[in-house]
Amino acid sequence: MAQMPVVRNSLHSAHGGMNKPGVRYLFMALLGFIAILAQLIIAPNIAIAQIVPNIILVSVAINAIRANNIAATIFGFSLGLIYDCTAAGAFGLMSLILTLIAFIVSTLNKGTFTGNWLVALIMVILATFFGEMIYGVFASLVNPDLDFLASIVYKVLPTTLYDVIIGGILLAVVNLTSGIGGSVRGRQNVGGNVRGRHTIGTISGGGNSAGGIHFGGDNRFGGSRAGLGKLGGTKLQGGGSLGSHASGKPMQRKLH
Amino acid sequence: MKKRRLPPSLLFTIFLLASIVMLTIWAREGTSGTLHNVRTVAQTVTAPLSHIGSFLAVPFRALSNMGADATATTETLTELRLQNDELSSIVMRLEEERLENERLSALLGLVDAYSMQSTAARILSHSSDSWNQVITIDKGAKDGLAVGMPVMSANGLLGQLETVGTFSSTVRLITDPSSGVAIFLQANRSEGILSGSVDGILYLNYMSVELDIVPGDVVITSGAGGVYPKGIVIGEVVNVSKSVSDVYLTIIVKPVTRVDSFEEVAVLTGRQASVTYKPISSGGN
Repeated sequence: MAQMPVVRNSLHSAHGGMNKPGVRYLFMALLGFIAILAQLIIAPNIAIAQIVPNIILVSVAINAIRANNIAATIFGFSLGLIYDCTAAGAFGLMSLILTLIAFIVSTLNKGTFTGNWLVALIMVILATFFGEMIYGVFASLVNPDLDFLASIVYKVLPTTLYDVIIGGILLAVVNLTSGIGGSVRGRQNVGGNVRGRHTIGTISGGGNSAGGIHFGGDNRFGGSRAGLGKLGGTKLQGGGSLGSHASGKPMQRKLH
Repeated sequence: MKKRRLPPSLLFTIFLLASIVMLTIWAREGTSGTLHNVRTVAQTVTAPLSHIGSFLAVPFRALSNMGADATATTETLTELRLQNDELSSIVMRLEEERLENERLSALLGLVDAYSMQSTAARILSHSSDSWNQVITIDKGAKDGLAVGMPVMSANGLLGQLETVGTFSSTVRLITDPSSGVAIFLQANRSEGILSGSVDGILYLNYMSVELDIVPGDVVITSGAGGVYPKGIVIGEVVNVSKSVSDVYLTIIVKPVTRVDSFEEVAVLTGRQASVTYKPISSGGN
């Protein structure tokens, strides 16, 4: 059997342990910490007509796009719990919403994330809309005098719009720093580095964007169980997958 | 040997159930309990962050004020001058009435049942979400504050203390959808309930269609329920409408206080519990 060529992610070689679970979880914790600080310090001061962006919800959605189920769910529940401790609403509601959003988004993206910025933004839009809707439904159930339609018009939609703007900015930042922009840049990215470029020349059979910053315990961005790598809008010829296989371990290819 | 990992769906179910349990406990606790204490402690811990946010927002607030002032038209200035003149004459008239009131009260032997003590506080931050209209102030339990105390601005009623930490407290505003204030109209003493809404407007509820209510009627607290003292100005009626089949009027009230127009508040920390009345001495009526 011919030996599979090895792909080296320049980020791996440059930083050595970027893909180690400890580093990934540390990065996730840092993201969560920043999101909480932003929600407590920045969000109230950038409110427009009493509409406050939900930066934590956006962060959970973006993280869930990139992480596996377990990491995303833990991330969502933890941030939701911290939010409940510091906010003014019902205790437990935001942890419920963020757990739901994180699990659903990470399940939808499981093994099929294309690295497409537009798809990610659509995910963020849907996640924030349903998150705010759930909050509105609960608020209406608790307070029968609350006009549900008015809450959609005056709270759900404006907050979702504001969240989407924040989410778009965060996605752009994440894209720039993680090199998932294979399809955004219209090129095939192999491995990817912080500048989102090739670290290896050409490899027959196409490439993928399996590199960059990963969240979660295993690398599932590289391909599906069917063995076709379809990241970055490219399709592998001759089957096989780059970046991962069914067992979840990263695969490596040698340079030709 | 492979490590046994928790299935994601099981973890998700555990977290979901935990959230539902917390929600249930919160709902059953009322105004105090374990989760309320947890939130109080968390707000105490994060109070310095509110201070930081307030400090960082000062230059931006000043900039926006400068912008608003710079764009004020001549028409606006003229209007403000006229308003100022009108208010000055009202103040003079009210001062005279206050003095007369004092004389008459002394004559009748009435004791002010609502001598109110207050503590000044500064607003640290506004709500961190769109659904709850709350503010955080820089005074807490160490300053003698307690849950339920009314909060006022220089103009009128703002809200009520909802959670009290050691160094900071949260005030739920009267414009919040879950707030309700027992009021009466100054003109005809009709009683009703003033409620907040998702669009930030105050609605006056339970006012019968048979009542004569017009825009401009002043709304003040009635003292019913013992939460807010009687006689605090809240706002004025700006719109009265009804449809053919309605039993109650739809009344919109404009509050005298806009939470984004000031930075200091007063928390009413205490008042006399009872009224003392002395009969007029013989020879008088």
